[in-house]
Amino acid sequence: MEPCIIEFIGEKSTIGIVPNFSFDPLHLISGSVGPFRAGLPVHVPLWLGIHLRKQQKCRIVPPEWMDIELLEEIKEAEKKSKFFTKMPSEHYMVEAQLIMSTAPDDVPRCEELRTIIKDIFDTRESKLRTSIDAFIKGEGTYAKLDNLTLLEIHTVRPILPHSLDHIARYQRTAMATQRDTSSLGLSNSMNTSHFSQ
Amino acid sequence: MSESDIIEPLSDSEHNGEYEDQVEEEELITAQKVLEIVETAWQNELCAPEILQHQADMLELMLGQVAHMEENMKDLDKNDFRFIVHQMELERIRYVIASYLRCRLQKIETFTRHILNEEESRDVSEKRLSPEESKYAQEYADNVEQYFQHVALQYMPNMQRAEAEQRIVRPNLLSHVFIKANVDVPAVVVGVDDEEVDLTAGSQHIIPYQLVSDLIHKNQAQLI
Repeated sequence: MEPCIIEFIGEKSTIGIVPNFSFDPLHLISGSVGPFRAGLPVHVPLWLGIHLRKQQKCRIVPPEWMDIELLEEIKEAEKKSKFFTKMPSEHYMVEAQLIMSTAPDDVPRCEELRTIIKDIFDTRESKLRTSIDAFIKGEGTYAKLDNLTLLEIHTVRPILPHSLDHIARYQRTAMATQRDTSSLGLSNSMNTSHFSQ
Repeated sequence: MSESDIIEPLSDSEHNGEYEDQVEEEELITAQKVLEIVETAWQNELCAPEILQHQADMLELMLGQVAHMEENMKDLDKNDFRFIVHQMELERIRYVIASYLRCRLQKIETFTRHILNEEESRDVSEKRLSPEESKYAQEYADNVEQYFQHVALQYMPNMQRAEAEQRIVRPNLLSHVFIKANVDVPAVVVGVDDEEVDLTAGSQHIIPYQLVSDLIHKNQAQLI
């Protein structure tokens, strides 16, 4: 999975917009949107909202969680908690990035929000790295990752599963070698072609 | 529904008859639901080490729906608001379908022999490949084999030729994957020493694929 796919998935979340035009409801395959009434807020998928904003056809209503006080609280809670706290949105980074880069004027105190969201992300990232370090040293094969968002999981995607795969592979080879030393002649049983990925 | 609205959703028009007939168990499946199924299958496929159950029925429904939509859009002005928005959505759906099929082809090309062998031992109802994919895999395997034979193998001593079995590339089913539980699943074995854990709906985990492959198959969990 690549970052652009994660953004693609994040673009399915809904966002409020205030259109400056009027139009009847549209029946998309993924569900109906509208009706659009100039000046009245309406919910649309993020990809549509971003497109309309680029065409200057609407103003974006920032999600409720894009609020300095609320995010300060989340940041503090995140620092205090040993575990990952639940984020206000499953794709908070994707949404923040898309909305703030397309429509900085629609978001009050945009720069401050950007900083604080990045702070939260960094806090979570460093927590994630610390726990991965402990996890790998603890020689586990299973871990719970509640409340991590897709993008955060992705930041450790190539390295974490691959290291675990390698560790598991060494363990299996070690076990097989142990067996083989007691019964010689079976040393081909762990042919590398069995572990192609 | 207003007059200007030319696109009718699958769920509330007479058009759905022909689609529903193809889906026997789920009679009132909506286009929206089909899209969800396709998107989930796509995400699972991207993350799974092995090839998963094909979704030919769902893809056919989705492509039918896309064609139906395009038919309706034919007479619209290219700058019409409806045209632009529907067009954007169709592009997104096409991307998902193309990415999904491409991912499967990649797996078929990597694990050709392994997948073909597995398919042979499966019942008709449990085949992982769609008929088209199956044909592709078989032809791909034959061509590769023929090519190897032509450029190299025929000049080699018999010893090397006999090692076809060892040339089979297999996916590592023990590779670690990220999953999200869709429903509560009690007592899932999560380690080599039979350690068990109850997965609660919405919880996320990293775990060797083989231990949860049946949950993915039964849609109790999905790969992320």
